[in-house]
Amino acid sequence: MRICFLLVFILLVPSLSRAQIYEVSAGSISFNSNAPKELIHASSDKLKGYIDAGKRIFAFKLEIASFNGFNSPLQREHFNENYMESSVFPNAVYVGKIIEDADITKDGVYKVRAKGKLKIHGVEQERIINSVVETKGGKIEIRSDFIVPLAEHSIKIPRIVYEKLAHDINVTVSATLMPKSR
Amino acid sequence: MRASLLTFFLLLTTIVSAQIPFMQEASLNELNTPVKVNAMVTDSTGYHWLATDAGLYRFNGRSFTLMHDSIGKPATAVAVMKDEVYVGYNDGTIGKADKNNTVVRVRLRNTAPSSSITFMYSFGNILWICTEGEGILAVINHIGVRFTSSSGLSDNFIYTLALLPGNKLLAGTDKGINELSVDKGKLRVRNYTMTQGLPDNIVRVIQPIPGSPLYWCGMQQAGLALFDSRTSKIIQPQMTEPWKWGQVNCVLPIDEQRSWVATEEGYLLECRLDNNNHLSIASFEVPGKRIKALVISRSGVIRAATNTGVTVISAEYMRYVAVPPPYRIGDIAAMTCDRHNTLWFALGRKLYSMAIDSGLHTPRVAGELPANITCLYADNVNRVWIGTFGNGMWYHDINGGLIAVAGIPPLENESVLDITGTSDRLWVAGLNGVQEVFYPGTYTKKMDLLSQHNKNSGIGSDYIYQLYTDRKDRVWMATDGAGVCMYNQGQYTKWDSASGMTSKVVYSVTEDAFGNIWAAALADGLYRFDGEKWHSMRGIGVQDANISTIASNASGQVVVVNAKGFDVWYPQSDLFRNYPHKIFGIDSTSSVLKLSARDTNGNVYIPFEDGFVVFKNVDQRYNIRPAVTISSASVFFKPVDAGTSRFGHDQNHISFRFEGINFANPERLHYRYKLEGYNDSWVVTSDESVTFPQLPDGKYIFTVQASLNNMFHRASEATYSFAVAKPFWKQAWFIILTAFFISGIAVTYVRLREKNLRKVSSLQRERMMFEYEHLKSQVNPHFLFNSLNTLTSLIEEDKQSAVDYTTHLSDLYRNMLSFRNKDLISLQEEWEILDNYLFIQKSRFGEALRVRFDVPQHVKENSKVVPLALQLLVENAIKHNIVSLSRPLDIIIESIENTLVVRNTYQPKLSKEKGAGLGLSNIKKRYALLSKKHTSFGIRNNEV
Repeated sequence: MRICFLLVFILLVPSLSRAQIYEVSAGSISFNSNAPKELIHASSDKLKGYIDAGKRIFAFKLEIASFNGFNSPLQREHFNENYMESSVFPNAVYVGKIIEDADITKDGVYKVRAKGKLKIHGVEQERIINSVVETKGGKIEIRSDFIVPLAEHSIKIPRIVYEKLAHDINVTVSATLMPKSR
Repeated sequence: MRASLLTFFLLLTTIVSAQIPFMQEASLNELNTPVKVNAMVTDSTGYHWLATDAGLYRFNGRSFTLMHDSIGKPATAVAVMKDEVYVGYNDGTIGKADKNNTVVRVRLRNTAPSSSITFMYSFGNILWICTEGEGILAVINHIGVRFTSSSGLSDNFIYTLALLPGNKLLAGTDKGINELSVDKGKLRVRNYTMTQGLPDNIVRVIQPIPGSPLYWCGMQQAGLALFDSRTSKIIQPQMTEPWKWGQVNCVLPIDEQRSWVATEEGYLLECRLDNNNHLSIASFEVPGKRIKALVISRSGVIRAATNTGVTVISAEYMRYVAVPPPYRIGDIAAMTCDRHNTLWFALGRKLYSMAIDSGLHTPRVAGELPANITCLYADNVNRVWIGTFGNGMWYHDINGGLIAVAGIPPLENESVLDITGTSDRLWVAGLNGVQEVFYPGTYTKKMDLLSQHNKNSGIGSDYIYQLYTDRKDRVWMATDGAGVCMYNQGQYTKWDSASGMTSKVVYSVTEDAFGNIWAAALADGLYRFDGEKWHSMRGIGVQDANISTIASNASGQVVVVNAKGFDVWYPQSDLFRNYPHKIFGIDSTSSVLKLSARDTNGNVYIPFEDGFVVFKNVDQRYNIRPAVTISSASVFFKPVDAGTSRFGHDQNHISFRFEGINFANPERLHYRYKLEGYNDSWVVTSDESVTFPQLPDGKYIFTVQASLNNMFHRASEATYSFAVAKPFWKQAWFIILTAFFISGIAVTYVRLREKNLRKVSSLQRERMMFEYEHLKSQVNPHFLFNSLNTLTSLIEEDKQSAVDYTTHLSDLYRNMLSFRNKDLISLQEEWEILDNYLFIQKSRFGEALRVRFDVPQHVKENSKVVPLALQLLVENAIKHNIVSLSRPLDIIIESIENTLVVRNTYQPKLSKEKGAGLGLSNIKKRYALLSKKHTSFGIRNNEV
């Protein structure tokens, strides 16, 4: 509810602080699971999101079903149906605030911490994620690596593939954000 | 321990510290399924309480008990307030654990959180609740008061709280530390951020250092800072390298200098802060674990709450120095430690040295001897004396190099068993007794043999397994054949069996920190000498009597190495702590005698397969004695409310459940109990419940003690006083009531009986009276005179009538005599009497007397009357009424509905006859005694 409200808020009131709102123009997320027996890798470029650089708040969203590049189509099917249940929980969402006081609209490279609620598989977890923000000529680039522990999001791993799947998934995000135009 | 032992971490990859704690993971459930533990606290009894994703657990050292709840959410925070345990959940729910192992929801009035609880803290009767984004709640008597950014907080996401002196609070937020105080009823907030010197604005942990005005502040990425409560300043401690261990999740201060810190990235850090605020950090990695909380039990066992369960950390009492392969430390034959804390040890013919204070533990070869090394001794100038098997004595010079001792004939090619030193002498035990020699000192390079001690000189044996110098510079000898022998200034002291030392073969001797001498005897276990007597320590907790080594550290612990593992004596607790093989993955102990070393701080080193176990000096406050609680009382196996102290007489089947809390050796827990008032003797058990069926009424005190290894001296105990009520039939009120009832019945019975007797006797008296009156009337001279007159006249007139008359008269008298004793006669018989009487009277009165008898024949035969009743009535009628031809007297006798009626015309004589009324009342009484039928007399319509 709060996430929707925040999204609507950011989308509908841009005129108040137009210059400060940045929208993802190109964003990709990839993950890999370094399990002892099998490496699983998949990625998606359907990342959507906004940053309000003035208020230093953000909201990102990704459709789970948009992940591609598994080892096999069957693995992708398992990913969507068995683990992520993407028909029930279609999106992963991360909404929150930027801890650091830096003005990321100015050119430069900033190490910031994004703190907020990461909602995956319908389970919200309070997370602090370190990111590198690079601003150049009004364009903001974000890079971030973080870990998603499956257990914390109630993603159940059947015993039979317990060995095959890592319990912590490494996630890499990179996105380019442009000032939102009207 | 129900939770199985899962992992033994050898942290060789990330060793920075010299001495590594043992760690062992315990699972919270039988299935070993990981459970994420979010918070952990210890209550005053000693229980650990764990807030986990599966709910609230209670841990007693052996088993985890899950508290039932209907909340069904992950528990994220836990706090103890006045012996009550409060738990916070990730949906903002607050619960409280009750006595029935259940968490009940606490309904907060005024305001209640709806987001996850990050931290809870209590002091006094206020419960402080930190939330994710809803500020701080202070709860007093279930009423919530909320402080948020609109009240002045810098942020609504609160990680932690700590109490400051002067009723102030410190709150850790995403935007620095908030210092909260109340000034004139208004909340005042002072904020500390990076501007004030805080290294990071996200402050996750604030923890006071006991005995110090300083508070640890743990940051999200910048490590640790200090808050000084006297100056309200942030202090950044000096560190030799930048913080690299990640997000601080918890701080466990041990004392003013030392604290344990755990991080999200799985590091356990031992942090030492010196007086100049220099922070030195020893780090240990716990691979794959995110440590959320640390608690320490009173026995010194640290437990870390992790994302998969709980990890036990032995750091406060035992660590190890890892020596990686190819060295097989399990095979070492001799060891010692010098004044620079260099550990010397022998493997075969090679002598190794290894600095135990440095970071890296790589043994260095110090030399090789021509024969196997049997013993090592480092003297006070750091020379290491070496005994060999068949090659005499050598020493390792402080400038390096191995030098053979020459010039002392008894030591040449000797097999040396042990070496020790006093202030200026060396003592060398070989196969020919003990040689006392001068050190090579500054004055002489040469060693001189001073004297020889052997079987003949007074030791009583030539074989000495160990030589031990105590703090008074006395030399103790563990001999084969003469027990323990002590040599001091020319005197040998030995002990016979009367002193308590019964064994003649002693392998090892040591002096503890209190001056007691301990001795290990062949297959006979352990002795302790208090200066006067030897006390056998058998059967009080040493796992095996085959002891190879005993050693003591500076804080009073005595380490006993035996065939089954290690046992460590805790003098403050009067108990042995046992470390059986396999615990912490230590799978062997050496059977080589007297194999130990002691560093300059007094810590004891014992070899094992992978290195040296260090039995650290233990903080005095750590006590391994178990605590004990009575967890429930039941009647007929149904639990009763806690504190119920009165039971009914039919509730006399009483059970108690009790539970020992111990984190040192929970598997060795024993209990003993007694029920005062029932049986005053102790019953030892390892069960955790006892049932007393059919308790008689009375007052009882149930006492249970818990201890390790059946040693109940100074054991902690729990008691439960109660009374079983007397049954009602034993209670005073019932007895009194019953007595009244019984005496009431007796009195009534006696009274009834008396009444009956009286009735019978009065009946008899009435009858006697009647008979008397009647006889009197019969012999009434008037009646006789009349009768005789009538007879006289009849004789003259009518002889036959006179004869009849006389016959009737005699019949009358005979009948009256024969019936007078009877109570009842039939109406027929009465009629016969009356008939005789009437015949006599009719002879006298003739037609003046008219009697009509109108009673049916069956009534005559079946009915009964009082004897002479009718005769008396008729006689009365004749007696009191005028009978003459002019006024004839009519007498009618008839039966009307079961009643006999006698009537006569009422024409009373003017002169009253004597004795009037006596006959009538006599009849009346006799009828009253015999039946309930009514009798009445009266005058009606001129008739009687």
